[in-house]
This record gives sequence, structure tokens and C-alpha cells, in this order.
Amino acid sequence: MNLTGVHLFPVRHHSPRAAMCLRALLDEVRPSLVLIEGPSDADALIPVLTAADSIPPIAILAYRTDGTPQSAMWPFARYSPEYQALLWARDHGVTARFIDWPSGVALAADLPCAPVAASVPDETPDDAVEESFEADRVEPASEEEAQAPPVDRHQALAERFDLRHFDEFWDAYFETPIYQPESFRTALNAFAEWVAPAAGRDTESALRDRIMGQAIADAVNAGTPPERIVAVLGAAHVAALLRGDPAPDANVPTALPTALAVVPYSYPRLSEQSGYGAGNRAPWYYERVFEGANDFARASLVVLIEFAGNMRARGFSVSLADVIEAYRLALTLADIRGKSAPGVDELAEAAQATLTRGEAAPIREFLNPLMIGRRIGKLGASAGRNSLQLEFAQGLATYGLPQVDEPETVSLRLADATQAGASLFLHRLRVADVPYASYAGSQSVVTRGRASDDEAGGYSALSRMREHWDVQWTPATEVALAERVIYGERFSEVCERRLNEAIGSAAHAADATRLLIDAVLTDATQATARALDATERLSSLDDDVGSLSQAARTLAALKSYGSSRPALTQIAGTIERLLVGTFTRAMLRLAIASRGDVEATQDARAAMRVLNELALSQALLDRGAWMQTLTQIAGDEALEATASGVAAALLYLARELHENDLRGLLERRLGDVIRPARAADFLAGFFEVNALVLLKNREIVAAMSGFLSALPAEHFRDALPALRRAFALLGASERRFLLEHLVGLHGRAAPAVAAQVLTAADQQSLTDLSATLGQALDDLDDLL
Amino acid sequence: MSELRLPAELKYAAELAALEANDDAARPPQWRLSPRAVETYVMGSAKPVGGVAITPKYYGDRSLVQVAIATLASDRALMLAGEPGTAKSWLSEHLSAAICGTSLLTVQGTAGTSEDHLKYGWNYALLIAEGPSERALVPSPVLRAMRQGKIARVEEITRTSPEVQDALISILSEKQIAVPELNETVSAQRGFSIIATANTRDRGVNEMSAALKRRFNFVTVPVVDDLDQEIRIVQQREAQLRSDYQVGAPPPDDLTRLLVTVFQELRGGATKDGKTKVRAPNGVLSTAEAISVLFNSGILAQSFGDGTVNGADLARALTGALAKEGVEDLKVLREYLETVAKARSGAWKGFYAAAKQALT
Repeated sequence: MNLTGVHLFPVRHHSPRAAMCLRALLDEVRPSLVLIEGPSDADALIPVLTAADSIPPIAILAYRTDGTPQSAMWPFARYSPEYQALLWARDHGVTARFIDWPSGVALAADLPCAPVAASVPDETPDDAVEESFEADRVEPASEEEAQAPPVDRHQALAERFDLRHFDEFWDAYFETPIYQPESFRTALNAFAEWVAPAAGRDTESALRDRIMGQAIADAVNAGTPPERIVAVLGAAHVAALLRGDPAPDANVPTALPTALAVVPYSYPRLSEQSGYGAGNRAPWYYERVFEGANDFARASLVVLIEFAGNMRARGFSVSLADVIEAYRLALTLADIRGKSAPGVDELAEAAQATLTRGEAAPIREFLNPLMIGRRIGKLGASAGRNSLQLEFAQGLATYGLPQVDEPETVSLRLADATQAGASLFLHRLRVADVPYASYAGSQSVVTRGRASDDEAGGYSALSRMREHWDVQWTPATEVALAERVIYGERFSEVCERRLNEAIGSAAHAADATRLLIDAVLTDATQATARALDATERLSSLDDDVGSLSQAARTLAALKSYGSSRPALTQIAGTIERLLVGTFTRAMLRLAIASRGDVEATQDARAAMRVLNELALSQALLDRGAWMQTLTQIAGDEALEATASGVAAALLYLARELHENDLRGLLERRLGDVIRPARAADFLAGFFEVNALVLLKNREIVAAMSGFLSALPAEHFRDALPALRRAFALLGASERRFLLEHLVGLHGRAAPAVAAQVLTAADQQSLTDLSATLGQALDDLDDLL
Repeated sequence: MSELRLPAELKYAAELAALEANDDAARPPQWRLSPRAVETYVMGSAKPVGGVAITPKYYGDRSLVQVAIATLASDRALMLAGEPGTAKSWLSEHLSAAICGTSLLTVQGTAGTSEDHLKYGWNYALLIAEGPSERALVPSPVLRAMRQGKIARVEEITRTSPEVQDALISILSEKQIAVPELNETVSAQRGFSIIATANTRDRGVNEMSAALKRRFNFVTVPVVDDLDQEIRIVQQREAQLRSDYQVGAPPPDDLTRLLVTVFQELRGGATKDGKTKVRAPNGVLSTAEAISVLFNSGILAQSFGDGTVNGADLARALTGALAKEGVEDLKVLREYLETVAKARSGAWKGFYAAAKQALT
């Protein structure tokens, strides 16, 4: 490869200084061809990237079209040198081309993200530094990939200069100093040489060096004079080409089938690509820098003024004098550190010393996000968008949902037709697995935080009055939208297909009914029918009481609230039949499932309570048979005792067990002094249901008390672990009832003691409370 | 020299002289050293400067020291805030020694500090004999610092009353002190600044007003939470105390490590491996406290023990330190011994046994 005469320009991606130097070089050289590191099959997207109405950050997205979810992005900020090269070429009517290996190969080489970010780095300071670079080229260092630990070699470099981390070093020696294109190129090449691994480049990078070098050589051979070509490559690639590294002993991976698109990107995501590859800890700030012709001091002042405004809006007192002081402090700090202008670090430290009076939290919470920015890129009208992207954009517009890359909460009242439409839209996105909104419960905002069984597609989904969703747009949303098109042109189709797939692999009745709910929630009629079939098929085979009881509960919810969904009225008969079927099957298997030890019956106990709720609320179900089942479980000593306890408590609460019978049952079960652990288990199960109601009954307490008093010492010891477990379930008010009854039962004249026991627990909190109140009043006084 | 404790500028006179001789960077007006050289003095230098080794005075975040120095080079005063025992005063002393050559212009803030301590007082014998005169005037350290263009230190500013703090506001904003009795006004010379220290545990005692806070740049001095770093600090400072006072036995490394571990675990409320929760005591377990415990155990060993510091000496010194805040803290220690120290091996064995005995 003969690259003599070609202007090889090394860059670090997302570097304002590199972008500025590159533009100066382009203006000077006036090339007729601009070659840029980037997937060579993406040339067709260049007009979209550079359209006047496209606003960075935007990214090239490549995703596999063979059904395997895998994708890669090549993001561009306005201040990315590659992006500026594209703009320059557009403005001067010059051809620009990407020359890296195609996206299908990049995916095959398993570069999960941004080969762009992967390739760069570079830089160098003054002469003294260059000398030290050479002096020290010994140890093998990490390679240049952003995702691998670039730390060692880059971090070592930072520490050499008494700086804390590589980003600081980069800012100090490459971004803030003023460079001419030529001096920048020299500096960056020297830097790349220094950080290059002594052991040679990894195969992948070497292959890409080769491919890009060849593409440049081909352009020369095709007739473009070398001095009219500018090639923009990551500094490590340029260094490798200049060294003339030998051809790697490996083959280029076979390309995977891919499709390409331009998608919006966001500043918060860009800032996550920190480390060596990027230099974008603070995209908003760097964009200010770039806009101001790389005047870091001025950009810093802009940030400080903006931050002071933020702080004032939040009620902090921040004066203009403070801002001036912060600015001066930042300049002095930069000076002490031998930097030519303040950067991100000096800004943060100066703001903390002056604006926040030493507090670190406002810096972390407000200044850093401010410097990162919230911008999401926009695509011009010329960008081809697939049908799902269009439907998504339309959905956001119709329902007023936010498109911002930070978490927001959306609350929907489902009684309202539009908001119910929004709910359908969000459920479809959820089922289509497009990461945008996640369900955050149905409780009122005050009591946010959802119960463990309050799931997006749970059995309660149909009875909700409102839904809360946490929404956040990220570039991953766009990726998913692009990828999901293989399932269908509309979200409704995507949901049908995805649900059908899931139904095909469902193994339990509970899975099938869960999918049934999802199908109903997303208005997927075919999937509803298939899920119903699957429920029928699976429930007749299912032996698992947990799964059967959940299925029954879901079916009961469909029966009760399904009338609001037209699609369900036609299948109401089937649902009722299935409900009775799964309930009966679960009921019959309950006794068998109630064997073994405490752990083994956990599912059976949960199922028992679910089924009990259904038996009491659904007229369709055979209440008599259910109570018989419970009676049998409560009385059968061959079954696990905790399960029996639960059954007994359920019977009592359903008023199916008279107090006298209960007393008899308790005495019998608790009278087991030979195996007191079983008795204690029974007690634990008994309390598990609703200890408060049970302990309000003096008869029950009397039976317990009798059991405990009668235990011989050594048996008591054996039973202690189980007893501890049982009584640990009791809360403060349960304990109070228990105590009151015990005091009453034993006729002790001990109300005073009891009272003291009651208040002792509260004493401290009362004292604390009054202290807090007093404090609050004092504060109020101060304020007034 | 028989002084118990020399001020930093004398104790490290050789280092300061060497730095001054080899410092060719620009210096702010009246500064003895350039900001870079001040930083080198405080943080230490790997290479000797002019043949003199520069020892580190402060272990920790370099950027914090840089912010402090940059602040003093501007016209704002510097506030070092932090928990007790985080070396705020230590840092303040070294900064003023390096910048203006004296760390002695100090006002100690107490509840009894009056405006006179910040401005000026009178020699009443002379005042009565001669009337108000320059000779009868007793200038405060702040007034002297203003006249000489040096740095005044105000320690524990949060302990002083709001009136005194208000007096400081006018000094800081106008940079002059009026002496109406002499019909004159003393204006600060270039180089004048103030380093104040504030204890964040004192919050609410005499909370600084917003107006006062605005006159300062704040640097928060953090509690050291890196084990090895704190061990280095404790070892260095303990050795220094031992040579200052010419008393005590050198503690072995494993006991120093043990002590600092105990301090960090009690302070942090959990063991270093994060597996066990520990109750935190009410008392302040600062680095300074650890230094003093270690130093005391050396004295105990030398005077009453067998001349080498062992677990028993350490345990006695430690219980003495913790007893300050009352019996609650001793309970905390007992709990710590049983839940954490008991299961550990090596030096912990002897320490556990001795501490248990010391507590009963």
C-alpha cells in the first residue's frame, strides 16, 4: 500500500479540538475526496446524516436481519471530527465515503457497540512530553478499544502528569491548548505511538487498519491524486498505517446480514461512553466549547452562569459575585495545574468551593447533569423511517408522552378513552419488548411503590382504575423499533407474533393465562384465542397447584372484568368453563401438595389462600366442596402442620368453623406435646393468614396459652425455633391483643405492667417525636 | 531547642528554604512561594528539592489542596470545613507557613472570643497613662496580618458568637479595620487573607450567616476512609509526637493496622468486608483520636508495661479514649469485641483478651 501524499488525519472521536483542526486542514487542503472511518456500507446514509434538518447527536444503527437481536451504533455529536468532515464535504460538493469494514463484519467481529468509539485516542503535548513518551515505551499496554480496559496505559499517562484520570489529561493536553492542524496531527500521532501496545495490535484492529489502508490506496489507484485525499481515522489506525504494521495473519469475519438506519442518539448516552474512546464526559459542555471556537474559558463561564441560574431557581442564594469568583478560581486552578484553560474538573471544583459552599451533592445532582445535557438528536425529513418508528412517533404525539432521555413518570386514568388508548399503546410497546416504558404500579401517587403481585400483565390488570409508568427514551428504544420490524409492520402485528411465539413455548397453565391477559391488554385477537386454547390444554395436564391457582385467579379476573373488553364477551363461556376446571383441579391436588416440610408446602399454602379467595368471591365455584377440602386439610395429621394451620384459620375466618369446634381443633393440634414442633408449625400457619382477627378471640388465646404452659421444659426447647417463627409474624397490635388476653386469662392484677409494656416501646419514639416537633418549631421561628 | 512543639515554619524551615531557593515560578504578591511550590510543600515530593527531601504533610486529595491554594491567591478567604480530627487545623497551619512564612497569627474561636480578639485591644495601663496611642494599642493577630500582608488563621469559627462572626464580615469585605480612638484606619496590605476552620459536627451551635459564608470559598476536608492511607497518617504523626515529647515506645505495625481498622469499622458502622454491621459510637473517632490513642499506648508500654507496645496497652488507651463520651460508647466497644474482634486471628487475639479485661 502506498499512501504517500495522502493527508492522514488522526482523531479522537467526539473531540472539539480535533474537529476544529480537521476543518482547518480541510479548508487548507481543499481535497476532492474525504475518506472517513465508519462502516463502508453506510455511504447511502450520508445525505441523511448531513441533512440541514438533522440535529446531532444522531447515530448510524446497524442491526441483524436474520432474527438474532444484535446491533451496533456509530454515534456522532456535532463536534465529532467525522461529522464535521461529512459537513465540510457536503458544503463543498466533495465526495465523502466511509472506509471501515462493513457493518455486517463489525457485528460478526462482535463489536457490541460503536467501533467508532473503539478506535481512537491520541495525543501529545509539548516536546518534553514527547521525549518522555519515547523514553518509556516498555511495558505492554492495553489495546485501544474503548470497552477493554484502556485504563492501564492511558491512566498511567495521566498519572505521569500528576493528573487524576485520562479524561483530565486529554482535556489538559489536547482539548484546551491551541493547535494548528499540523501540530495537532504530530501530537496525536506521538500519543498514539506511546499508548500503542508494545506487543502489537489485536487482530481485529489490525484487520481494520489493513482494510482502511487498502481503501485509501484503492482511491489513489482509481485516479484521485493522493494530495487531494483527506482520510479521517482514529489515531491508533493512523499510527499503525504510518508504522506500516505487517498484514495480520487472520481472515476478515464473514459478514452477517444487516440493515442500516440513522437514528436519534442522546447526550446522556454519549456521556456513558467514557473512558478512552470518547472524551465526552460532558457533551453539552463540549458542544458549547465547539460553538465558541474552542474557547474553554468562555464555555466554562457559560456553564457557571447557567448553573448559578439553576441553583437560584432551586432556592440557593448564589450571586453574580459568586459566579465571578468561581470563574476566577477555575482559571487559577487551571493555572496551578499547568493547564491553559479550565476544563470539566476545574469547573466542578470551583463551583463546589464558591457556589455550593463546599457541598458536593448539588454538583453531583445538578452541575454534572447540566454539563452532560439532555439533548436528543432529531432526524431530518429525508430520513427513511420504518413503519414502527412512525407509529411510535405518532403514538408519542397523540398521547402526549415524553421523548426525553431521563426518567419521567406518566400516570394514566383508564376511565378516560384517550388515556386508555395510551395504556394500550404502552402495553403494546411492553409486549413488543421495545424499551421505553416500564410499569410502575397502579396505586395512587401518594402510596407509590407497588405490591409484589401488581405486575404490568398481572391478574389485576383488568381491574385497574389507573396505571403509572416510568418512561424514558433511550437510543435502545430506536434500536428495538428498527429490529422489531421483522415481526410486523404495526405494533398490533408485532404483539400477535411475539405472543404467539411465547404461547407456543408456555409450559404451565399460569404462563398461558398470563399471556392471555397480555393478549387481551394489547387487543391481540388471534393470540387471545391461541392463549385460551393453550390454557385449556395445559391446565388439564398441569399438576402444580401454584400454577393452577394462579391460572384460576387470572381466569376469574377475566370473567369478572372482561365485560369491559368486547373481545372477551364471545369467549366468556370458555373462560367460565376453564375457571371451574382449573379451580377444581387445583382443589383436588391441594391435599397431596400439602405434604413434606414447611418449605415444600409454601406453594400449596399460597395456593390455598388464592383458591379460598376465589371460592368465596365466585358464585360459579363449588363453595361446599372447597370448605370440605379445607376441613380435611385442617384435620389430617398426616399433612404438613403449617398447611393445616392455614386451612384452619381460613375455615374460621370464613365462619365455617364454629368457635367451639375451633377450640377443639386447636386443643387437639396444640396438645401434641410429644412433637411440639409440629404444634408450633400449626400455630405459625394459623397466624400466617390473619393473626389479628385470630388473636382478638380469647378462646384461641386460651388454647394457645394452655398448650405452651403444658409443654415440658425439654419439649419447649425443641419447639422453640418453630415458636419463634410463629410469634415473629406478629406485629405490634397483634402483640397487644395477645398480651391483653393473657393478662385477662391469668387474672393477674397486672394492667399497670401491661400498660408499661405498651408504652415502653412507644416512649422513645414519643420523645423523639416531640424533640423533632420542637426543632421544627424553632426552625419556623427562625424563618419568621 | 526545648519547645514542646515548634510551629510548622520553624520545624520545616529547611524544606521551605529549599523550595524557596528553587522556585522560579511566578508568585502572587507577598507570597513566599509560588502556588505550585506551596502544593509541593503540602503534598510532598518524590524527588528531593535542592537536596532536601520534601515530606508529605497532608495525605489525601491533591485537588482539594489545589483549590485551597487557588482560593488564597484570590481575594476570597478560605474556609476549611469538616468533621473533627480531619486535619483541618494542620492543613491551615502548613498553608499559612508556606505562603506567608508564619502560622502564628491565630485566633482560637471559643464562646468567649470577643471582637477585641479579631480587631484590637488596649494595654490599659498605658491607655490610662498616655491616652490612646499607637503604643497602647494591642493589635489582634488579624490586625497584624493585615498590616504585614500575611495570613491570619481563625480556628473553630463556628464556636464564636454571631457578633464576632459579624465583625469578621466587615473585615473580609472592606479589608480594613478602623481605629476611631486613634483616628486612623488600618488597611490590609496585599497578601492578607484568612483561613478559617469550621467543624461540621458543630452545625447549629453558631451557624454561620449567609453573609459570612459568601466571603469564603469552602473546601470540605473529608474523613479518610482508605485504610492504608489512614495507617500512613497515623504512623507518621505518632512518630512525630514521640520525637516531640521524647517519650513512648514505637508501636508495631500490626497493632497500628488493628487500631485503624477498629476506628474505621466503628466509624463506618460496618466491617471492612461489609459483612457485619457494627454500632457506631457517639464520640468522634477521628484520625487525630487514633493518633492520640496510639501515642498513649506507647507511653503506657514504656512507663508501666514491658517497653514494647502490646494488645493490652492499646486496649487500655482505647477504652480511655472511648470512655469520654460515657458508658454507652464502652458498650459499643464491648459489642464490637464480641461480634467482630473475637473471630479474628493474629494481633486481634491478644487485643480481644486484653480489651475484654479492661472493660470489666
